[in-house]
Amino acid sequence: MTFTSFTFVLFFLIFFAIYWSFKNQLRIQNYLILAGSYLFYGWWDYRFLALIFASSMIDYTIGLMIYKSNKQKIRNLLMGICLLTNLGMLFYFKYYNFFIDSFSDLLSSMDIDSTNLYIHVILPVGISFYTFQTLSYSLDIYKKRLTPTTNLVDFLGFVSFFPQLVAGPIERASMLLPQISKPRVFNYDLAVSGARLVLYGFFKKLVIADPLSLRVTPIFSNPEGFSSIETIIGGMLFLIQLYLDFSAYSDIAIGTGRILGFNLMKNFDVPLSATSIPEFWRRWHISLTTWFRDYLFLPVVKLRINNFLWRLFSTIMLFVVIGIWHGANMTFVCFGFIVGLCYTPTLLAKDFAWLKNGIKFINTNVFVKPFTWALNFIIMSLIIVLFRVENMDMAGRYYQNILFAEDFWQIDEFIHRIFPLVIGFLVFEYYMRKKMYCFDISGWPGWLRHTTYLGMIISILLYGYFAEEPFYYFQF
Amino acid sequence: MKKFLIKSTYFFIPILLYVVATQYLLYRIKEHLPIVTIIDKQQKSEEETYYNRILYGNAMNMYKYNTMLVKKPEVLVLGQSIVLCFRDFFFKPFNAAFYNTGLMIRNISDLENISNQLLDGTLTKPRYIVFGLDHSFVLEHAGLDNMSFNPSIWDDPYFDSKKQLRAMQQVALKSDIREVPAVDIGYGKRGMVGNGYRKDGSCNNKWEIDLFTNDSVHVEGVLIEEFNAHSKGYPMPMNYDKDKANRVVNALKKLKNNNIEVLIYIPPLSDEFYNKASQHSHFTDFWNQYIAFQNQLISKGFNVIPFATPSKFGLNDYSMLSSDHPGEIFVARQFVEFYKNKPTKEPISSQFDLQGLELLLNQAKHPLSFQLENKSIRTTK
Repeated sequence: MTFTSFTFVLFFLIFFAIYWSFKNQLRIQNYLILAGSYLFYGWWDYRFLALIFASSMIDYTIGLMIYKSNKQKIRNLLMGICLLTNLGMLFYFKYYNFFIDSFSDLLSSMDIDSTNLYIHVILPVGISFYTFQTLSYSLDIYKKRLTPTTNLVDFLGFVSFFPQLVAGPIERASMLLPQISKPRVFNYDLAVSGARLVLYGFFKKLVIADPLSLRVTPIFSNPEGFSSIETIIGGMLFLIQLYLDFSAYSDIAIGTGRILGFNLMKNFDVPLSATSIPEFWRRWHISLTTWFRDYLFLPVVKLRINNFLWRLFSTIMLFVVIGIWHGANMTFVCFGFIVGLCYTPTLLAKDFAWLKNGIKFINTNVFVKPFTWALNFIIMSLIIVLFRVENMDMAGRYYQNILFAEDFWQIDEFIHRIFPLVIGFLVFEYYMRKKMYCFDISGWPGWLRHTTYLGMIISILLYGYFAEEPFYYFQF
Repeated sequence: MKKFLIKSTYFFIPILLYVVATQYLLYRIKEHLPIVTIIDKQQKSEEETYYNRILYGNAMNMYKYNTMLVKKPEVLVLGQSIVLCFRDFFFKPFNAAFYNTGLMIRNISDLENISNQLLDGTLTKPRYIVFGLDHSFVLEHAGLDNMSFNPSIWDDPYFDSKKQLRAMQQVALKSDIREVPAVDIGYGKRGMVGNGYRKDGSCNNKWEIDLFTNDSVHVEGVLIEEFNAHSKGYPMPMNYDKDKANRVVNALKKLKNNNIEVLIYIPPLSDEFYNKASQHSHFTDFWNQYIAFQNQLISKGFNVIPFATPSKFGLNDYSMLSSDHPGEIFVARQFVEFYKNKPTKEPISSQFDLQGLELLLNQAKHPLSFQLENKSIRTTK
């Protein structure tokens, strides 16, 4: 049941009607959230429900036990069990085969036939997202930053809340749980802003992102069939497609959450307007990067904060882990490593004032900034190739084609046609960058607002790409 | 809440208008019905085009399977497009009980599946089956092996909301689609007469047929290009698959042992294509094994119309719809010759009116079709 399917639209309309018909009955509303979320998730595969339930129960129980325990040793032990079970499940479903793959040579040198060690399981949708959401709950209790809930229904609803269940934003318990536990009243402005975001998400996904995949997929499947410039543009188009696809999901998630009376965290902040790699990552998939920053990076980097090499190591480690979070593949490891390396100037700037000033200058000077932006965009487009290719061999073929393809300048008609739409969109996003959220047009005159809505609806109906294109981040 | 609902409703109005308008356009071009309803209507009417199916895809196997469920044929044709030219009047006096399911089954798994259903009562057991055994049934890693049929009516693309939206988009944006189609195409009137090839409305080879009916142009089709590119039915290497061949024998044996007369049809190739392909050892190596399999079936007591090219019957490639699709005249000729050379006492085939069919063959004025007038023939390659 993807957001852009008819099934989801129908499901949400029915859910909306039932949910708000119990507007002063919090308990019933929370039961509805739980039932609706489990129905939503079970629609993919009912067997996944057992996994999410088990994962929730572990954190719910351990969270209470950690809170009640006064002895640090027991707290450590409980937290260890919690980490082991949560990450163990994630490892089993997502990384086990990658692990066997990576060590197949070593195993065969020990006369162990690795082919029998592979397991055949389907990757449960959204497992990386809800595992980290539940983990943050237990970690916050362990760090004494959060009081656990004693209401199981609320907690199960927090883990499985359907708007953000399968692809985030990864919510912190301290933000979402209180919203579930407190009575909700229908807020017109919140609901309108939510509906606006839902429309914007549908527009981005169906009118721009999915048609872009029509060109991106062939370029990544067979780069040798394209010119150098087309291969470079392929990376750019994929970066834009990925952003639009994922941010569209987040918009619809945040939007539906708002319609139901919830405020979910912002997940993107116009990342394509960034003029440096660190800025890009501050604006991209915010809920994930801040999660790793808070629970992994900061505790590690604080150990030797004044040592440049340690800071660089911590940063590279952070991005390698973020890369691996996305998938069990060497391409993601390399992706994380390169992104981490790109932080070197920023990390060095802490020790050298002249470098700090230089970076500040190129990021703020009106004449230099467009060039910095373009350079950053090109660099990100080249790095993101690693995010899309199936393996390192394919990555090699891709980069090789950029350098050595015969027709450097040839550009096909599709790219010419899609270009104005993409440029128009980037300009619009840039214009919106200072707003609270990316499609905040509440300040526009009524006629213009309504015409925009109407234009978007008509564009979706007439030019939306209604194919079986799932949201890209579902695979993670 | 009230304000939000009222304002939201405003924005649903254009969506509703769009749906109504495009659904009306789909209704005008007869693309507004699911397959089960079409089947039902086609059993009752012979006047209208109900099933153009440009926008949803024709979902042939689903259509044929469900028609078969309704028609309960006694004489059944199974196979791919190469059997589509078996016509009802070949099988007089059983023509009313005839159904050609050409293109319903695509591979050995489909054959096994249908055989089981015919024998376990899911489908009505016929008394006579023609099975078109083309080479992909014994070819290793044939692309068609992955195209097993799914007869579930719920998989009709009509019920897929995204395909509906795509159909609505196309009918809204493309004016040429909005024209009411001629009744003689697709599943229209041409598809309403009789029960066989193009009589159930198959669009297959429409292009070639139209060329013939309009200009009498023979087209070899794209098979030679596919052969040279080692694509589709002619990969490189072409390996004979013994396991698949055994499965074919077992499935057919089961049918035969359950008192169903089985006629195996090894489809012809055009002389031009066959001669060109025979120059390549990877083809001849495979083909020799395929023909050996055909002979093995004959030695096991199966009725087999063997592989041939038109020249073997004194015909030429104009009797072929394309390189690997025989026209109905050629098929009828093979059918008559087979039973003339091998008189039978079996309950169904012994009653076939072969003399009547031969008379029709002698009266035919066109090398491709019983119904066409002869015209001067020119060729294009």
